[in-house]
Amino acid sequence: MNEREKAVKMADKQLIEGYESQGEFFDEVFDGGKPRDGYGGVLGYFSSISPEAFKAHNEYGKVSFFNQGITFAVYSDSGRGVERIFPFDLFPRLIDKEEWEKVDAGVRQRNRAINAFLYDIYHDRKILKEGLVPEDLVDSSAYYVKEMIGLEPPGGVYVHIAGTDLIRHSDGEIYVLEDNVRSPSGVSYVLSNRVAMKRTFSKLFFEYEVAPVHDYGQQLLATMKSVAPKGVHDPVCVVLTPGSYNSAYFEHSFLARIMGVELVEGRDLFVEKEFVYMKTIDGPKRVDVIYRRIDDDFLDPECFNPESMLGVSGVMAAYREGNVTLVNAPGTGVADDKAVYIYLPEMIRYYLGEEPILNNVPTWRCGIEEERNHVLANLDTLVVKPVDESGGYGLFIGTKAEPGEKEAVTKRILENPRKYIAQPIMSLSVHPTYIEEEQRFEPRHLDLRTFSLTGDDREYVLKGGLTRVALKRGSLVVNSSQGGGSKDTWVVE
Amino acid sequence: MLSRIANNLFWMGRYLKRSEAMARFTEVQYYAALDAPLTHTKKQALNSIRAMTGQNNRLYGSHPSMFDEAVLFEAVLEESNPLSLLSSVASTRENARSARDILPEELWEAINRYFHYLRTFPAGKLKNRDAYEMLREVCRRALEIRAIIETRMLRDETWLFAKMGIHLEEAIQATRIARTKVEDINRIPEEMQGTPVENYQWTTLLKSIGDIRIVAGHGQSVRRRKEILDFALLRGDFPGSVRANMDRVHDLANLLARREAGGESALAFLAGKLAARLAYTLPKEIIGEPLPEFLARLEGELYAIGNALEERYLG
Repeated sequence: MNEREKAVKMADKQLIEGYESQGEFFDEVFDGGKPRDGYGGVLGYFSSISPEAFKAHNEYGKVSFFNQGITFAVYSDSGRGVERIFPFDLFPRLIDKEEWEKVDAGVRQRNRAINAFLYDIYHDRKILKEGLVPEDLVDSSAYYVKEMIGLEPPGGVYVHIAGTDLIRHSDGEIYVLEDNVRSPSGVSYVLSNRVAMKRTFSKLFFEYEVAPVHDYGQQLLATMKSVAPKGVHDPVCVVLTPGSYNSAYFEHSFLARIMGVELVEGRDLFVEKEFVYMKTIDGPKRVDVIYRRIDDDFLDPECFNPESMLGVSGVMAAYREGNVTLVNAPGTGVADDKAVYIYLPEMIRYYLGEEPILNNVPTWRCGIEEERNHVLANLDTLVVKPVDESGGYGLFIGTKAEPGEKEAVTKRILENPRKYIAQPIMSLSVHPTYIEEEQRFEPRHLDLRTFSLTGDDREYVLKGGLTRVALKRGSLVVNSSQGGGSKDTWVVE
Repeated sequence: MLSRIANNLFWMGRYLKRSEAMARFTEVQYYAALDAPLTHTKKQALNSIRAMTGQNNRLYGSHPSMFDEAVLFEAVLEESNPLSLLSSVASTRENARSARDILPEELWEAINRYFHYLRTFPAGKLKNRDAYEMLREVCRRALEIRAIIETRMLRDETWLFAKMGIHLEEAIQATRIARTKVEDINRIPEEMQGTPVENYQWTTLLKSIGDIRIVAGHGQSVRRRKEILDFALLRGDFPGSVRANMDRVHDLANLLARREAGGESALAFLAGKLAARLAYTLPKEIIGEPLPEFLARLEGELYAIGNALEERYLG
């Protein structure tokens, strides 16, 4: 062993050695202590870097994100918001091309089914009449927007931008955890992470064929233009933000920048004779397509929350007249309701006549006798959820049940079976992640949010997406507001 | 361009220049005060920092002893003081942040670093060499930002509004500094006027807006008064003067006006009128009239130009 090899061995010891895959979870990088296909190159490269050098790379990344203002705001007592960077992990997550092709096709399929479902529930309501999806599930949804009934969105598209959250269970299979079809965020981090990764470990990119992500801006703009109001040939597109104090402001300005369009606030826009205009230094200028990053509720005080200062008075009327296109359409939230999610496989079969490509988390509905019996017989290994509550309320987790809880949940299910569903306890896969305090890699749970676009006769799925990682040991919470970080995600040949 | 964004760019320029001017003035004033002739001059220098930054009335009660470090902290780092240097830098950055999607990345990043540099500067280091180096560093960073604006930006509306803010603010700052100094001089006992005590004040004026060497060897005292006012207010070839900046504002207003039918605007008219008047004023004419009134009137005219801009483009 020469000196260099010794050094490599030493470095290897400190950064990776001691790394233990946790048997109960799927490890993305190691399979029984051996690297999985594709990861050899990354591991080899990292083992040539000393822990000190790696630490320095990590610090460089943090400073560079901070200086670029790639931050989100967390409000503090002092009144001035504290800015945090979204922690970025330098160990990339790899997805091989074959697996990606399945994800890509599955995401497109879900988007098509969701758009068909939204068209249906705002028009003929066939799927409800045929009893495949319970009618009151839709009508009672807080996200069902009556103003959308009968409206014809350009190209029949409601959801132009979707964020589909995927996890890998301990069985090694990918499952869809949820479809975010209102205002999914995070794509700016995908693009910024890639830039940071290329700057930090440029050499590593020579060893892999990594699918690029930088075309997202042009694809988004093309998607917006494809759904412009009829007769508008060179549409004016804008991004509508709640303002610079919004926690996702960096992303809003980033998107406007990469598309080369104006970033507007509600106060920059006004509606006259059912057309939307922005206030410019040369007077009013017509706006045709609005990618709005404000919730339905704040979009138009005339239609929704009358107290809203963020929206634009009259914009819904302009939309209904077909004079402006809203991206995403209002009322899409009904399709990302947890209870509606269960029916996605049915929707795919009903509208597309296809079998679902991506797995839904298997769900048993207690309203159906056969399924209820299965649930009651297997409570120890299931999660029971009320269909109409969110945020983890009313959850029963079989493996963590206190004495007496099982009996209580059985009673509740039998009293009102329609109110409950049950799912297996899903586990998120783990991936080596650099832990600053330990100065080495440790396994941490992660998921993947894909970003996809649907326009009039066009579809696009960003290759890769945002891998979110829970930085706290054992935690399954990957959200940035609760100690989550992210990784660059490589779709590789 | 959105009117709101034009407004952000204009104020980004103004706060950028204001912060640079404040850092320069504070540095010159504070360090000159340390070996100023006579104790009362020293105290006056500290008062002058407060007057220049517009806080002489505002916070006087909270620092009755006026010891020097407290003055420096209040003028430079006090977050709750809307007139502090830190507040100006924060406003530069907030305005840039609102327009960051249209700014060159390196410009935004330089402004962001500018803010974080000052914000994280430890209050405990606000003395001796560290304070001096910090104020110099603020000036260097402000100049870096201006260099990016000059060399890396397309000459479009983004550049136009930012530059308009910078030059209008520079004209206003030069006027304000001159006014503060004239007030300082008027407070000097009559028997000392025309002595090194007065000369000291003129020197700090010049240092605050430019470089002492520009007029080195141009004589002393009373002659110096005329020459220095000429430099600060009237010289077209000195980029820190009110006139040179008004020439720039006039050019920029014309560029803006040319974009529209008729090619004229009230803004261009007002800016042109003031620029021309300054160009055809002799130093002896200013000396001939009461200076505080002259400077107050000039300041008013500069504000009117800002108002004309806001009315036409930023509303």
